[in-house]
Amino acid sequence: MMQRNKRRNGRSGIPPMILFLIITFFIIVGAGLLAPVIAPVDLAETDLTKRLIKPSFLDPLSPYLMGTDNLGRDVAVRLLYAIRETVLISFSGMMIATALGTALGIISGLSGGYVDMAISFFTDVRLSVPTTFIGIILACILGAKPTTTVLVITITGWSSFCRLVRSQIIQLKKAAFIEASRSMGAGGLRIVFEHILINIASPLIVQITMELSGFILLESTLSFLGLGIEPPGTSLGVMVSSGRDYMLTHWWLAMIPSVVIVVMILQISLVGDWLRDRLDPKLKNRS
Amino acid sequence: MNQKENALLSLQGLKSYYESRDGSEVAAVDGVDLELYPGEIVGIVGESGCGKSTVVRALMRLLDPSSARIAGGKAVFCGKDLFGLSEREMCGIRGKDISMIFQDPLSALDPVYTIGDQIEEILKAHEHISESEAKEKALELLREVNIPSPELRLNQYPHELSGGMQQRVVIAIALACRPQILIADEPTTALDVTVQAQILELIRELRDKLNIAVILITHNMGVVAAICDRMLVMYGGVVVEEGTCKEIFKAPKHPYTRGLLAAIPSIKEEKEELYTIPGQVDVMKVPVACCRFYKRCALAADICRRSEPELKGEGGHLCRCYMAADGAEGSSGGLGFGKEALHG
Repeated sequence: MMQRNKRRNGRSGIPPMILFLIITFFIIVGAGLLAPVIAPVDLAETDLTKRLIKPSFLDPLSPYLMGTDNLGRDVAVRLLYAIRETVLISFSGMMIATALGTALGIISGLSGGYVDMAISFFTDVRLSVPTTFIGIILACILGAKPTTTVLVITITGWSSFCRLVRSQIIQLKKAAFIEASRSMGAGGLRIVFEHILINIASPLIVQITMELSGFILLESTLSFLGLGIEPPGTSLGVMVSSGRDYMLTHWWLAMIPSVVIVVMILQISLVGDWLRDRLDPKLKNRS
Repeated sequence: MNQKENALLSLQGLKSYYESRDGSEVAAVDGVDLELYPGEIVGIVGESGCGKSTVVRALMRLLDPSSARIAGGKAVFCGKDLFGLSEREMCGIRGKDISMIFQDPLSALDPVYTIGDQIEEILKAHEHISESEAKEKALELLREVNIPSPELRLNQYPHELSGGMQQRVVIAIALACRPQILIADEPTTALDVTVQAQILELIRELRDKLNIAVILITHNMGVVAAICDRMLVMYGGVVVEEGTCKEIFKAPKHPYTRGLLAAIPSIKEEKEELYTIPGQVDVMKVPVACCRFYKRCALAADICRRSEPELKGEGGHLCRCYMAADGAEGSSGGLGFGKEALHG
């Protein structure tokens, strides 16, 4: 993983680079979420007379910022809706997976014994089944719809959180400050929430950012394979998938959503990396 | 002796067993009695593995339930048996009435909270006080343990302080709710010698000021000599000698105590080799039916192999040995014994 130890040059506050990444990320996500307000259109509407128009950055005369696709729909508008769908799916999947994985990890790490063995067994089972395979099976059973994709993300995502939290808790359980805290009269729940969870927050946040980029990719992969969002609905994966047929002649159709995916993942990963350093108190107050 | 009535804490026949890998039980603590009175410092001495830490962990009910259990005995604190309380009631006692400080101060502090947060946490846990009152009190506590520029320290993280300062913070946390008993588990082992002296001095000062009872666990005879009033020497899970420090240092009775004292290097006397007690602490599988020390003891006789001696003596100076030397022999007797064991 990322072992680079970035030295921040500012004493405190957010470095401009990170601020830029965060702001641009929220602009992308915000534009996506506001898509129905910014461009209220019917996604199913097509106009074959306007199909495959070049984007304005290639042809200055074109009225379309990002051109049109093979059915004559504005790529820029579709891109907004695609971001919206992808963000909604991967974020909700991430939240459920994190909550589930963390809860199971806490139970597993704290209780030990048979409970721990059972949960660890299921974690291993889950990790040994390929993600796409789970996606295909669930899509076959439940049909290709957004909730299926959320479910796939949840089912595939919880295990890594569970493992991380469990290992951290087993380590922390023996830590002297936990015993010290108990000897000062702190009860079980207080220790879990105020000492254990806070201490595993930074690895957990880093894990979340890493997994989140994975979830965005997973959503795109499933949609690309036709297992996620189905046309006329759209997501970044659907756009890449449908643009793939025109790769040689109209490369921007697949390239634009791909670039958005790459940019979003980079933003999340870099901010996550920075957060990890930031949350480590040993690196705080160091210039 | 009718003193028993006003003892702050009294341990009666405390037993704590660990489960060993083959399923049998090992006695870490096998019948320890201890009375603690307000304002006294009692030292528990012994080498690693003699059960001294287990005694206090058992009495605080902090033993890991998956491997250790309290196998018998009572711990009466203010008329209540601590072993009969619910976990909830026990939480109310820990930190409020009985506090504990640990060997390594850095690892005893949560790395992600500031010093101020950690002092305020215990205050808020046991007393209903507001944020600003807690802050005020935290500052006061830091002053009490002689931390320089306490305002600055409140917002610092544990790793930013020196070892001695960290231990002062730990003591401040332990004393935050004005406990009646302070348990110090090797509080100076992780510190360097000059800081050790300062911390011991601080503990004594606070004892005088707050009239708390202190149980000090250590393997360092020098620490005991420096601040303890009474001491218990433990070996193999039992107390082998008990008495005031003065008596024991002047006239140790048990061969083990004499060995411990002989092992202290002295500047007055030139020694070719430092004295060591041969062998190691044995694993005590229950039930034990011999003197626990006989394998390492130079004085061991037949009776030591056959039955375990009682802890007995006069005037509060108790000893668990059939071969117990008479008090008249004096400390030189202890050293003489040491040479004997070394060369013989």
